[in-house]
Amino acid sequence: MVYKVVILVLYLLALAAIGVIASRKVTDIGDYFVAGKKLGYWLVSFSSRATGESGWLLLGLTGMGYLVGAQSLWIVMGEMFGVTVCWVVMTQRFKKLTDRYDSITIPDYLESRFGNVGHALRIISAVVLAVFVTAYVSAQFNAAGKAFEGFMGIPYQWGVVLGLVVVAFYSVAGGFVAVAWSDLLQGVLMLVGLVVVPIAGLIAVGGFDDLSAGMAKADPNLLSIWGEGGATARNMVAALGSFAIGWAYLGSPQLFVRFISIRDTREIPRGALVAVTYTGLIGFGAVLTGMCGRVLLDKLADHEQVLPMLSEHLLPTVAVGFLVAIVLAAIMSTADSLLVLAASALVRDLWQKVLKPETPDSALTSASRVVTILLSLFALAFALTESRVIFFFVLFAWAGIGSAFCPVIILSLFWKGLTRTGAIAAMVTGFAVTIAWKLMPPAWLGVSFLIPSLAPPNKAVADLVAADLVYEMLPAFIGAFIVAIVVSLFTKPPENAEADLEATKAEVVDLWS
Amino acid sequence: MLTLFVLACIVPYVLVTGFFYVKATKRLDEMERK
Repeated sequence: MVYKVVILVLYLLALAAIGVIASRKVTDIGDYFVAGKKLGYWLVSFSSRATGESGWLLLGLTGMGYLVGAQSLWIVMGEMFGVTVCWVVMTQRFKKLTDRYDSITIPDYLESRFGNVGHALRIISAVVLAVFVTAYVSAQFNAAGKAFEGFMGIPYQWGVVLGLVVVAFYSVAGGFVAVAWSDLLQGVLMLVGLVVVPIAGLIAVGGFDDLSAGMAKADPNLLSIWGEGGATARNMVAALGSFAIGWAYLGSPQLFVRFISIRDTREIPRGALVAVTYTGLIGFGAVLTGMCGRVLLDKLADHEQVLPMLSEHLLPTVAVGFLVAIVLAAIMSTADSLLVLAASALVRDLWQKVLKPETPDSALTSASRVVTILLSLFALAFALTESRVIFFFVLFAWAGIGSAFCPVIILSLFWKGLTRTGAIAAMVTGFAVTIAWKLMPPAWLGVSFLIPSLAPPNKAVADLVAADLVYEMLPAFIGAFIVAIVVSLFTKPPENAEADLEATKAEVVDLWS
Repeated sequence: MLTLFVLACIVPYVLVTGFFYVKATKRLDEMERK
């Protein structure tokens, strides 16, 4: 216990030091939100990966590896797809356009690209982010509570509060600069953890052959990528839903704001290599960890405790201490980025651009800090009153942000015909369908009643995936994409669209050109 | 089957990214020299 506490305290002190050092670099709102657009590829790729993964990866995905085995590889495939397409196809164009418009937030970019009549795009963006970021951040504090409980025996509520205090401190002090540097530290820790634990697990199990044999003994379906029953329609829908998790890498603001902060487009090819390699390592590491846990551990009451339990089982106490820091790193790297993002939506996009344009920069930086604290407290209230399955709650917020923003960002980079009305309609569709679908799980029950092959085969799995058999990202994302195109065909595109896209196209290297 | 699927999760994406890295680095160097 002493080792764990010492390592944890050292880690938290390192984060606090980053916050203090970074706070000296924050002189205006551009520094607070995008680090003055001066970051190199290591920082940006690690920061975007650490933000994209969260406590969901270390507790949620390892838990899915434990619960459903090879089926969870669909999630890894989706993530590899999303990260690759994002870095290879979209990032250069996005960076060039945001530089051209001098944007420092995603709503800045949207308004420059489509015009600012009535600030509708800013207001919708702020609403979407305020709703889903609160849900997302509260799920991270939820994960912090579970981590402290699982690793150190600290009561859940105290774990939640401790997680919040640390994240709020360095986010408030150092803004995006602190968030990016702490993301780098946290990203490295996550990588180490998800390489060391599965390797230790494989050694303990006796290698891949013994892992397969052990899983087959526990449940033969764990070795099937389709799950129980094979390639049925139901299993294919579930697999597509898992794959769709990766779609949110194609324009989510908490990830794309990092591409605004990159120094220049020359950093992007190197960043792509780092990001894709990183994604493969941590994705497979997480699934493998869960699989080893299934073979080595007795049945767990909470499958999301597989990582703490497995590391206690396999590693020396000092290493477990590091693992506590690693899980907290994953949680904090996402929570901090989301808090800064939501603060930017409310302070920069609503307050400065819509309500009080004459507010000086110095006042905005202070206001951003106050808003960051208020949002943290709001998320804390949710995390303390609810204890839920991290995996699915994070995916809900992930789908909401992804479906509202990604179709619009993708089309805005490649299609001059996308109009302001089309963009607004798509954002509203993505936002509304995500919530509606989540609130109406009977939709799929109706389908499985009509087509019995879609009915869940196993009660334990059915209970968990009930509301998510058709992951809300699928209807919301596809619906928003279609709405954007259809509405745009009947409305007038912005006058500057063709010139902006042509100028950008000439300055980037396409994969196919 | 499982091994093939694992390879399908990795190989295409690593190849595409590697190709992009080589091509983009070369072209961006050329563009900068001009």
